[in-house]
Amino acid sequence: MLAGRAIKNVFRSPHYTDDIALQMDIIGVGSLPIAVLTGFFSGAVMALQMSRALSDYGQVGKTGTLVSLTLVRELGPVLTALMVAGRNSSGMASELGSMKVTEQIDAMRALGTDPIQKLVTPRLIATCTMLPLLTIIADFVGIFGGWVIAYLFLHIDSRQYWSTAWRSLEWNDVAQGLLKPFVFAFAIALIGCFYGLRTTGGTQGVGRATTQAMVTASILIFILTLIIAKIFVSQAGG
Amino acid sequence: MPADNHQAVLRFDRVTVSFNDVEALSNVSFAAYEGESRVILGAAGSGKTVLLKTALGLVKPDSGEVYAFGENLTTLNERQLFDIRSKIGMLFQEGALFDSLNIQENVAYPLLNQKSIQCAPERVLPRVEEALEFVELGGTLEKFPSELSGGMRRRAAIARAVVTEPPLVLYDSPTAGLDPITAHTIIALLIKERDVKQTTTLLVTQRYQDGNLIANFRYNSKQGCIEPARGRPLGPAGRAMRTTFMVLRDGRLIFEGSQDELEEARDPYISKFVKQRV
Repeated sequence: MLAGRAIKNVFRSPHYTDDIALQMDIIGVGSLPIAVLTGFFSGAVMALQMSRALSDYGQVGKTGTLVSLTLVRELGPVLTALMVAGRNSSGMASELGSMKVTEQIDAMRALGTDPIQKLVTPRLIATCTMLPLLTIIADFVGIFGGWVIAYLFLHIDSRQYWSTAWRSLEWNDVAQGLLKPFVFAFAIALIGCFYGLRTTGGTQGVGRATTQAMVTASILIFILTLIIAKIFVSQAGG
Repeated sequence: MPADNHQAVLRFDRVTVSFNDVEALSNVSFAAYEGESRVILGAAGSGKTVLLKTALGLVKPDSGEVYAFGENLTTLNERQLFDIRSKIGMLFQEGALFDSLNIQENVAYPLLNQKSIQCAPERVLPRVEEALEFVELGGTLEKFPSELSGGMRRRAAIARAVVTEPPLVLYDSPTAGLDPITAHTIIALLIKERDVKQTTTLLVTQRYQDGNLIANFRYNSKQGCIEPARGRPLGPAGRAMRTTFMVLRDGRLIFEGSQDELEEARDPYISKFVKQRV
């Protein structure tokens, strides 16, 4: 019901553009440092681990391929979404939960505002816009992190690394890598807002809502990535 | 539908509200008329706040009907309720000011967001200033709620509740948690609002003293203070304003009547409230 009303409100006035911009700043710009750090270190670790496995087959030069495929298809979207879930889904639950227990949500309704339109829809739009962008940045920084390891420690030629990393990607991979963060964004925003809006029981309830939002969003991200991966693997196989 | 329905500003008709199979309001019926003050007494958890939220359409009853200004709230959707709510001011228990907005933005909120309130943009600030002056908080426009004391927050919330000049105002425990002097100031503001703007008032409280002040004092606009009013005509053209007391217990309305009837009541639960009288 919450998802339906939030999506319907995207097309209904009033549009709270200031709130959307504010949420984009909080979710997008605010999450940029952790997305960059997560991307860089996951790319670097992937390069180290994969090079070890590939060396058994004398294919260390293919490190770029594995790093880019793994990051663009799975690790980039999933890790970025987990970071944003930890930071923002819980943040939404605690913010809205605090508003709920202090009767600010009721006051909003009493003063002529639909809380879903004012609070949920801007967060949904902002997350759906910013998470794919953050994922693209994290993917690129991750491949860059892999290159740092490949160049400095594995002594792989830069040109070889970047060309294998680039050529290994197909449209199917890019589509999968962009669809996933979009779907994850729905889960993160709606779960955070859902737990926030149904908070009861004072400050203890706010803490409970925050934890529940983060745990549920994280689990759902893993379930959704499996479903989407299965769909894309089946398509590629077919 | 009874004949008095059109005259009643607010009417509850056998209203029952439950949460998780526990009845918060049980078969409650009453009617509040224009210019009337109603003082609703009851212990914590007796259903006072739920009653006010039901009157505002924030809570849907499981059974029964609620009429405000002749409209049956139980048949309206959320968007239709916004029009009715613009005629009702509500002071929430802890004020419920938006902590991300400053006092000016908080008080301006109903003027800017209630569709049926036609307020020109250039009139918003003067009306906000006027409402804040009314509650003697003229210099707090730029402050945030967290920078104000409990009593000042409550007064700012009153300003937000009455800035649109609604004909019906609901006050949920306006003096809860306040010291006696601040509590007296808040009740004096309620009396001032009622007598200056001629509003219908529903006051939920646990303190009999609050009801006693509401019932027996009036605002003297010449002297700018409240004064005893028993036996005097109140309101424009000598219109007598009445104060009715209601007592809720476990969601049931166990008493409805005048102050004298309340003081004569033998029920130990009701007597407990009257004994608080100072």
